[in-house]
Amino acid sequence: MCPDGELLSAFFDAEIPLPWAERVREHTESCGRCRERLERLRSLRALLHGDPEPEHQPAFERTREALHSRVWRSFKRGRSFWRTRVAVPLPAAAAALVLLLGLGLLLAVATVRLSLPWMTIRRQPTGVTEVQVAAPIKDLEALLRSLDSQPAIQEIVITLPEESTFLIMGEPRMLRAADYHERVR
Amino acid sequence: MLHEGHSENLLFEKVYENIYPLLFRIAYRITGSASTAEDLCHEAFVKYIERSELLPDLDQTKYWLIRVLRNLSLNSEKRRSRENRAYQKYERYARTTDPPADHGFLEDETRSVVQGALDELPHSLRTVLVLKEYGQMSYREIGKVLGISEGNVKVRAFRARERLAELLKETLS
Repeated sequence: MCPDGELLSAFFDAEIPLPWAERVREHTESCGRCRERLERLRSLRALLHGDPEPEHQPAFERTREALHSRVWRSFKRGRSFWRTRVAVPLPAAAAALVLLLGLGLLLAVATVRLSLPWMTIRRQPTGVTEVQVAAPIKDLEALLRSLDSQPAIQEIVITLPEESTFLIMGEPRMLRAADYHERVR
Repeated sequence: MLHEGHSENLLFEKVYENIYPLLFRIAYRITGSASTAEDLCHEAFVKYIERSELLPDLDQTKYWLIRVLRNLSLNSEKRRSRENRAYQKYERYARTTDPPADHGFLEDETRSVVQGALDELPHSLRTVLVLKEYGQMSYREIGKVLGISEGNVKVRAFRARERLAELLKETLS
């Protein structure tokens, strides 16, 4: 069976893998019609390659001359660092992304922790445990009630921030706190 | 140690000297005009100079430049086709009042019968055949440059030859 035009054209271009190329070659040697088709392809190729072409040298020189100043300008300017493409393997890019996310998470946790109450526990040589807590107080009465319910507490010292400013509204709360302090003693 | 600019200039010279002749030949066979081929090669090398990152080797540079050239030639052909339509329209209009117009301004040189037949092929078929015959490229390389499969290259090469043989049947016989 004769090969179709596409196959013969690919065979002519030596683009057919070996076992198949050998079969096509054997066939074309024995088939007059296919030999003629191949001969036609050869003639066409000879016609294409025999066709005169304009000399490229004058255009080559003119273009080189025209490009010369542009080439030097480009090299003088240098290749911009920010426009340089960097090839990074996918696993490395994924690892970098994970690292960035981890750092971001750590930063977020640290920020949240800063806004939480700060506390230190110190054991005195006398055997008394001193607990220092720095916490934002929104409800002073609730705090006092909470402290009142702790029977183990011997002494409570409430230190106000130095730069605090208070508005006098109704009965002064800190007086009550002082009373409370006395009561605990 | 060479100065960076000097070494880059040497690299450019190497690329230019190795690739220009092939690029010009391909450009001429695709466009059918030496002056258009020169313009397109110039434009392709300008793009190469302006490219920010270097290409890994001479082969990759060649493929890149051929790809740029193919796109430039396609744009140039579309533009020329629009201009030709405009001239033809004008000619039909002028014929009613003036003597026949000489449209030699459309052709910048006399083309051979073979080149004339190549010009008759659609751009997609012509490019594949030109890269195969004048660029000495394999189907795989052509596919890579044009962004098509090897199978598609095979079909296009066959169809281009079929049409070309038909256009040149008098010369071939």
